[in-house]
Order: sequence, then structure tokens, then C-alpha cells
Amino acid sequence: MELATAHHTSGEWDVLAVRGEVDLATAPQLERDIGEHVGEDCKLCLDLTGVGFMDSTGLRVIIGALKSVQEAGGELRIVPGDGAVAKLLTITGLDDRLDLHPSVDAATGS
Amino acid sequence: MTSPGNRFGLEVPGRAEHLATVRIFAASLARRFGMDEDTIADLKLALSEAGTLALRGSAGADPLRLTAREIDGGLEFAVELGEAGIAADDELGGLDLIRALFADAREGPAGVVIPVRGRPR
Repeated sequence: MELATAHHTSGEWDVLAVRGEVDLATAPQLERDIGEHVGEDCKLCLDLTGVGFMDSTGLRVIIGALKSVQEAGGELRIVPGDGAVAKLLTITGLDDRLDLHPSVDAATGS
Repeated sequence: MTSPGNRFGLEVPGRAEHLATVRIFAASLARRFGMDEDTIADLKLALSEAGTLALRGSAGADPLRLTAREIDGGLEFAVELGEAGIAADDELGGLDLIRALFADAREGPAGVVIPVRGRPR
């Protein structure tokens, strides 16, 4: 299964909507796509509600993105949805380390 | 079709894009054995973790091999590890995550072994 990302803006936020499956095969693409929107004082929202499967390879990408965004003085907000991604974040305890929101509107304040 | 000891297998080239093939195969088998979708979702995650460990350990030199055998009340899956075994494990995934999903999972001579007891749909 392929991975697809789509970018749009919502106010001052860059929103990257991700669809598909994230594993060892597709994580590099996700990392590249996220990297295109990381810059000084960036405000990036990752919409993962369209991700049907993610393993720990995807988590490493998200943690890497968080570090990059923080180093750039920006903010990263995550919309995990209520499926596989949310469960993975809970199992691994990352739900306490990430800024999670129930929807893109809630994340971007729109 | 089922009787204790039935065995099933899948061998695909040792490339990351075939992790999805492993997940599809295992999910289909689990559905045939009447497992519920929550269990199948956990199984797909566990096997993706095991397959990733195998691919990283062999650096793609070995095929990705999945076997499953019928056990009392479920299926026991095994993802073969190459001679190098598990190259690196970390806090985010790997065996710890697999064991969080299936407490009886273990690393053994057959590779990463994951017993899955069926929860009827």
C-alpha cells in the first residue's frame, strides 16, 4: 500500500494530511514530506486520521519531526484519529509526549 | 480445513515493501480462523515489527519468511530471523512492543514467535 500526503494551510498552520500505511517501506517518504514543511518558527499539524496502519518505524519519524520542529522553534500538533495510530501511541506511551488533538480544526484553532 | 498441527507459510524477498504482503497474508489467515478484527490489527502490528527486525538484521540479504501453525485455540506465527538475529532493538518498538500486544511472544530458534489465541468475532 502506498503512502500519500496532501498539504494545505489553516490560518498560520501548515497541515499535512497523511493517507495509507506507514512502515519501513514508506517511512522515508513520510520523513521527506514532513521535512519540506519544517522551518524556523513553523507551525505544523500532522493529520494522521487517514493512516490505516503504522508501526514503530512511523513513530520514529514522528519523534524525529518533533525534535526538528522544536529545534527550529516551532510547534508540532498531531491529529491521530481513533484507530491504529491512536492505539499505537497509547501502547508506547507517546500519547503523553506529543501534542494530540481530536481534529484538525481543534489543532489549528480554526 | 483446520486440524491441530496445520501449517502455513509465506516467503517473500527481503525487501521492506513486502512487509505489507506479510500483514495481508497473516490477516487473511487469522480471519479464516475466526479471529476478531482487534486481534487481527494487533497481529498485523506485531508481525510488522518482527519483519522489520528481520529485515534490519539481515540487511535484506535473506528472504522474509513467515510461518503459522495451528495451536490449541489459535495460531502461532513465526518470523524467521537470519543468522545475525536482531541487529538492534529500541524503546519504541521491536520485541517490547510485540510483547505488549501478545504477552507470550518470544525470540527463539524459529525467530520471533507470536502465539495468538483466537477471540471469536
